[in-house]
Amino acid sequence: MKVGVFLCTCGTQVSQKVDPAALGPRLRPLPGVAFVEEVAFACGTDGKAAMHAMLTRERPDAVVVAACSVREHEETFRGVLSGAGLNPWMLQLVNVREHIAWVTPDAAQAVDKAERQVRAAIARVQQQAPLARTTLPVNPGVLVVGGGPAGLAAALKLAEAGRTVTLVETRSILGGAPLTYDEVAPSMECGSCLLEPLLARVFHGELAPRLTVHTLAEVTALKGSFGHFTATVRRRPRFVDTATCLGCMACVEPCPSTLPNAFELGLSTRKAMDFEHFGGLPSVPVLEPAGCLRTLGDECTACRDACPVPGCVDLDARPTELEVPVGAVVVATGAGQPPREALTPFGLGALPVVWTQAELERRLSSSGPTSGRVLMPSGGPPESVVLLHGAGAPDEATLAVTASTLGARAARLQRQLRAQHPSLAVHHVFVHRAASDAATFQLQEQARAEHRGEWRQVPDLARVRVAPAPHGAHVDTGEGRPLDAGLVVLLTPPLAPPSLRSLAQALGLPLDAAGWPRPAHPVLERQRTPVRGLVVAGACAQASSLADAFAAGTAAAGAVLADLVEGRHVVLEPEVAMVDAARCSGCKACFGSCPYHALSQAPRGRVAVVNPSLCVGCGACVATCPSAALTQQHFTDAQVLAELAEAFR
Amino acid sequence: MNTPDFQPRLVGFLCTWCAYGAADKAGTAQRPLPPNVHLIRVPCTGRIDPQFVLSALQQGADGVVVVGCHPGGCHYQEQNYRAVQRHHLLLKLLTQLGVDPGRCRLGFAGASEGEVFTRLMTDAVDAVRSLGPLRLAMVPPPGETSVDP
Repeated sequence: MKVGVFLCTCGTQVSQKVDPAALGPRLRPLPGVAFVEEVAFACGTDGKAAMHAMLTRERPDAVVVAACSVREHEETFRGVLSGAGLNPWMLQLVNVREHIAWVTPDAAQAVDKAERQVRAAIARVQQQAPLARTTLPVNPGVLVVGGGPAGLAAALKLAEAGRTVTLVETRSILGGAPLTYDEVAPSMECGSCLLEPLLARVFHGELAPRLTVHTLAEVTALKGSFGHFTATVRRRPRFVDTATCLGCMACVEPCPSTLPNAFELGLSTRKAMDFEHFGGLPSVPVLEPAGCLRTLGDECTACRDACPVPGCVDLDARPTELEVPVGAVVVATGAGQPPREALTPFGLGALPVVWTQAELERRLSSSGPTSGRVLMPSGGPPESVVLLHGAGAPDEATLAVTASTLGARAARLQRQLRAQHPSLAVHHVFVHRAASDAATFQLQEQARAEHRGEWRQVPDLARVRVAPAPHGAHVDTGEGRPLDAGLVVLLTPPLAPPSLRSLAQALGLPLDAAGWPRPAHPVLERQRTPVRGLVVAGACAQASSLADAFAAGTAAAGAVLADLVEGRHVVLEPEVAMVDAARCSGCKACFGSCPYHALSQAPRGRVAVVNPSLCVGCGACVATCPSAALTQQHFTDAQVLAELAEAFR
Repeated sequence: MNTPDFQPRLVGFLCTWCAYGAADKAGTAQRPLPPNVHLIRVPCTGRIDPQFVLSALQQGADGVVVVGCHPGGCHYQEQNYRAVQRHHLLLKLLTQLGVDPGRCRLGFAGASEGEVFTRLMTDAVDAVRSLGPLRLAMVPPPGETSVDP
C-alpha cells in the first residue's frame, strides 16, 4: 500500500517546534511511504490545491496528514481525498499542533513525539479500508401514540406541516387527562372546552384528511428503524361504526345491562352499550363486552335493533390488527398514578370520607356522577376538607418535582370547592411548596390569600395518619394538633406510567430505573430519545402541567420535522459495528451493551446482527464480545493495535 | 529503578468527544504537557478492549491512561460506566500478574477542560515515573524466545 504523508507547517505554528526538515527524513524510509510533502496551510485554498495536485500525480492508496484537530479538519481533508478520487476514509489526521507543537517546550522532544505519532498513523492507515456513507429514503409519515394534550398538539402540528399522521388512543375518545377535569389550572377553563377546538380540528377541520385516528387501539410492535418503521396497531372492537353512527343514543336506552362506569371511577353506572364520556370525540358509543349479555351467552340484539342506521352496530366485530408504515413515532401516553396500595395508609377504602383527587374531580364535574355537587355520604356538604399534597408519592424526589403541579391543582380544587360551599375550610398538608411559572405562583398565592383553613408544611407524609372521627376524620400530621376533616382528598402525584413498560418493550424505547423514558440529552434534547425516530412528549416523559404537555407536543413535532424531511434520505455513517457470523456464538452479551437497540438476533439462526441505521458507532459492543465476533469499521482491533505496535517499535 | 531522569512511556486512550476535545483545549491554552504520552483516539472509552491496555504494556509502555467523558456526560449514554467497570476488573488482573495497578489510570475530562487534561497526563506520567520502568517477567525481550523451564 502506498501512503502519502503531508506535514502542515500551519504557518510557523507547527514548524517552529516540529520542523518538517527534521521530521521528513525520519518518515521517508518507513515501509509503504510513497512521499512526505510539506504544506504551508493545509486547510487553506492553496494548501488544499497543493495536496490535490500531489494526490492526483502520485495516486497513493492512503494519506496521513500531520496538522491539527480531527474535530476541526478531518472533514476538510476527507474532502481533499474524495476530490482527488481517493476514498475519504483512507485518511489519518494527526494533531501535531494542539497535541504536540503547542504543548511541548523542547523542540527535539516535540519532533520525537511527532515522529512516533505520525509513524503510528502511517502503520494504522495501511490497515484501513475504503468506506462510504449509505443513504435510505425516508417515509415522512408519523405515528403518534396517545390522544391527550401532548399527542394532540404533536399530531396537529405535524398535520399543519403537511404530514400524514396516524393517531392511536387506547380510550374510545380523544382528549386524555383534561377530559376528567371540570376546570384546568391556571386559566380555570373547563377541560372539555379547552379540548373542543382541538378535537374538532382533528376530526372535521382542513387537516382531518391527513389525520387517521384509531381509538380503542394500542401499538403492540415496532419493526425497522428511523425513516422506515412499521408499527403493528391492535384495535379492540367498538361494535359501532364511527363512520356511519349519528350519535343519536337510540342504542343506549334499550340496552338491558348495566355495569360500573369505569370513566367515572365506578361512582356511577353505565349501560353495556353507552358513551364512555360526552366531553370527547368521536361522539360514538362503545359496547363494553364485560357487561354485555351476549358475552354471557345471551342472544340479545337490543342495541342493533334500535339503531336507525343499517349495519352501524356490528355485534360480531372482532379485534383487528393493522400494519402502519411510518418514519417516526411520538410517544405521548400521559401520566401514571400511584397504585391503590400506596394510598391505603391514608385510609382510602377503609374510610368513606377519604377520596382520591380523581374521585373528587369527577364529583366536581358538571357531567359527572353527582352533576358537579360535592356531597358527603351523610347527604350534606363537608364542613372542612384536608388536601394531602403528594399522597402516594414513591419517594422524596417525586414530591419535590411535582410540588408545583400539585400546588396548582390544590389551589384550583380549593377554588372549585369553595365556589360551591363558600364557608368551607380547606386545609393543605404539603412537604414542598413550589411554582414553575408566574401564573401557577399567582394561582397559589390567591388561594393562600382567600383561604379559610391552614397551610401546614410537614417534613414528610410518612407520619400522616387518618383516623375515623364522628364528623368524618382526624388527620394527624405528626406535629401540631390533628386537623378535623369532613373530607380528605389524596392529591396523587403524576408518575411514570406503569403501562409505558410494555409499550416501551414493544417500541424498543429505553426507560430509566423509575420507568421514565430516557432523553437523548437531559438539557439539549428532552423530546428525542437515544433511539433515532422515537420522540416522547408530555406527562409520560416527565411530570408535566397541561401547559407543559401541550408545549412538549409541539416541541416533539418540531424534533420530528427537523429530522424526518420528505425527500431527504437517512445518511448512515460507516463507522458501525459488524458481526462475523462465523465467530458469533449467539451469547447475546452484546445486546445489553447497546442502549440503542442496534443489536438483535438474526431472523434465522442464533447469531447477532447489527442494524446499521440504529448503530451510533460507540464500539462498546465490540469490547464486550467475548468471541471477537464484533468489529467496528474504522476502529478495528487490528487498526488500534497497529498504531500501538508502531508507536513502540 | 526510581530515578528522576527516567522518562516513562505511556499510552493515552482518548474518547473522541470529551477527552480529545480536552486535549485540543489544553493545546489551545499552550499549557506545557510532558511529551511521554502517546495518544490514541477511540470513539468512546466503552470501545477500549482491556486487551488494548495489556497490549500497550506488552509492547513496551510503562503505563496507560484512559480519559473519557465525565460520569453522566457520555455521548453514548452510559458507555463510560462500562469503561469504569472494565478498568476495575483490569486493575485486579494486573495485580495478579504482578503489575502495579498504579500504572493504569482512568480519568474524566469534559471537552472544555484543558486544564484537567493536562493535570491527568502530568499526574499519570509522574506516578509511572516514580514506579520506574515496567518489567514484565513473562514477556521475553524482543529478539529472544521464551524457554520453558
